[in-house]
Amino acid sequence: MQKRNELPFFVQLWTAILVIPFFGLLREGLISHGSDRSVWIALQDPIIHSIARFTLFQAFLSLLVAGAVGVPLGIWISSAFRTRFRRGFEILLALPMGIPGLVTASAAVAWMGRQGWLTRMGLWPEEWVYSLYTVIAVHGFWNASWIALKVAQKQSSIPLERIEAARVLGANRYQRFLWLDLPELGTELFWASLQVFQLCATSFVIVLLLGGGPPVETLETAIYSKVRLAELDFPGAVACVFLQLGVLAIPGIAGLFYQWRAMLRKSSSEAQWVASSRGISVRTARLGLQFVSAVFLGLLPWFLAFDRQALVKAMAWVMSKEAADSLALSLQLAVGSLLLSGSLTAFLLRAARRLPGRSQPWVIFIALFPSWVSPFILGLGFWLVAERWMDPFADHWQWVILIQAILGVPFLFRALWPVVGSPQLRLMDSAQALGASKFRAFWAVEWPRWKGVVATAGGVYFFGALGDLAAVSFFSGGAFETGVPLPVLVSRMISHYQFDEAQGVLLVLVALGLSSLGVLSGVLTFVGWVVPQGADYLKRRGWRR
Amino acid sequence: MTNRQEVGTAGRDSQGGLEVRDLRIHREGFEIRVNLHVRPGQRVALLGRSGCGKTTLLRAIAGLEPVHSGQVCLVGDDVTHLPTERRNLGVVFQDLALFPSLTVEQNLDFGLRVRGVSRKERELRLAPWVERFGLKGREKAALGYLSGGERQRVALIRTWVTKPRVLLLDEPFSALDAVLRADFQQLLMDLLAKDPVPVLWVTHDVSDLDRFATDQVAVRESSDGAIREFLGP
Repeated sequence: MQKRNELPFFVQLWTAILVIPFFGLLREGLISHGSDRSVWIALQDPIIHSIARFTLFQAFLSLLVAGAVGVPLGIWISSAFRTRFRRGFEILLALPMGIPGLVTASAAVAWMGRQGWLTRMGLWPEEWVYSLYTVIAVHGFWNASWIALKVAQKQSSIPLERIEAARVLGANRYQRFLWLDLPELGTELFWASLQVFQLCATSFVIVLLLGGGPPVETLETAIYSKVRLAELDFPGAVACVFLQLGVLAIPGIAGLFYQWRAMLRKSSSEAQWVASSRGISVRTARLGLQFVSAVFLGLLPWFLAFDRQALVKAMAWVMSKEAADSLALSLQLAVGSLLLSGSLTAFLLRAARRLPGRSQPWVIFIALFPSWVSPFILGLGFWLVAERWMDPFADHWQWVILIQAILGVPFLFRALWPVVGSPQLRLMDSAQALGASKFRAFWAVEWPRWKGVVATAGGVYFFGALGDLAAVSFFSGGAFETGVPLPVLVSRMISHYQFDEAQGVLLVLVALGLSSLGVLSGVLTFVGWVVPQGADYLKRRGWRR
Repeated sequence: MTNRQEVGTAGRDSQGGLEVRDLRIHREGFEIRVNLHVRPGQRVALLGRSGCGKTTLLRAIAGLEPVHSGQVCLVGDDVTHLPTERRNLGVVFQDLALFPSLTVEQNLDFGLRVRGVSRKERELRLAPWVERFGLKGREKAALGYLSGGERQRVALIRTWVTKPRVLLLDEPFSALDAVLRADFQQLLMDLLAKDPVPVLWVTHDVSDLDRFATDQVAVRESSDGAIREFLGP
């Protein structure tokens, strides 16, 4: 009985956590404090309207750029997804989602800043530097790999027999794409575009650092400036939050419904070589080219942007006391966020898997709900509700962890649900029929499937949390007792034009983030080995039945 | 049967059939050698244990598998180096390979559509088959609403309306129960009686042979298993 009650309780708890900040925002909107500037008046402010229009405009243009690059690349790269290198390609293309905005912005300065490589070579007009163009180019390029990943995953999941049947019936490559691939890609493309749109609309660091200030100002940067930079303007900030929610709500809700429907649909993705009459050398060359494209889109620009001088300064900085404090604090925040977000996701996954069919979509829906809110919306909401216990100017890092964890749930859930939500029941039965306990069957059948996905999703999330500027800067009062988190330190360096130093620190951050992938993978492999061994040992000793 | 010419024999040469000459297919660890001639009206069963290369042979004839040497001729034309989509042959796959994103009707007229046949013409050509195969009223349905037998019929009509020069069937009866299997075989034989195209089919079930096959080819393996030969009728 206890087991049955446990899951609905957690689902209710999660819903309550999500409701709290919205309650705070709504209360602020409804209650007038007697001042001249209420939320209602702020909502009629033409300046805020123009910021909202600009947010929509830049997000839409960014999406167009990302789609124009990502869709053709995804289609082209999809054949590589039918090979044994699939996992590598997936990691490469998923990485930019985990690369913190700060790293991306810094790399973009090295490419498209006043002294950037492209600018010096005359390939990026100087009048475009620190403008809407730079913001759109970076948003587009940064998100193209995600669209390419989704397109390639879907395209490669179409069974080869279906493609062959179309060929036998006389369909050429173009007809096959138009009539068979496109209808299947449609759903995937729809929600990948939606995600990119949401990310671009709520983008903070890139707009802040690369936009060059107003008029390149989005609702997200406006919220920040109204509560952190200028004189406190709660009504203005809350009005921006409402408009931000309006911008994201309609496509967001439509997308979430679309998404869980797509998730429930099973798709086969058996990796196999594409039958081709071409020789092995042609296939290898093609695979090599695809790999280079994936590396370029997924990772290379961020590394190419760093020069040797930055590396030297990074090494010098790493030895300092300031570095040790900053590193320790950032690692604490990232590990804390990963643990909390991982636990929340694990409970939600468990609930979604165990609840009957009708309730399952609801759990999926609320698990993915935070994907259309931003750190500032949550931060401001919590602040308005819990101002007695939290002061954003007093370095309450527990709130940073809570907000990062809540925002991490949709990412982790999305990554893990396709694997966790489709258990290999037949294989589990088969293992149990062969004498394995349910526990042992899990480690033999399910864990090998989960391991890679858990390591990748966890690593990418950890990387993102390590370099997230929005949540830490919202709660940073400049006096973190144990140091300054790395992203705040980097943003300070950039604002003081210490670009080499900033890049050096970012190099450390990138190295930490990427190594977390390997470390997590190793830890999970070890867990997969040691747990069944331990269980067997206990069984042999008669301590476990 | 007024549409017999339109949906059946028109455009097909009754001479020649399928001829496979000295075909060699290299697979990891073994080589498949083939010499066979299937004449119009013949229904040749390919027999052999699992993994011996029967399906590979069908796929090679369809152009879906690279061949090392030899010739595949359809109605006298050498199609060895022709891409699959231009060979004009019919394949019914083991798992049917229907297109789930398309409706029943769109699945049925797919082959005609890719050949540029107008919508009106497509409807005209398909109507008698839809009626005859008991799919009337299900044209707009999604594939998920069809039973196993109906799906099998969709796969067959889809192939048949393109007037293939040869019919390749990869274990077409394996997923059907005894009643559906007998129905489907009868349906196929009715079609072939009026329009005798050469048929090459893969089977594991010897009970199908008496009822459906006119000839059979069994694989012969060398003692070390490195060479597997399919030699003619």
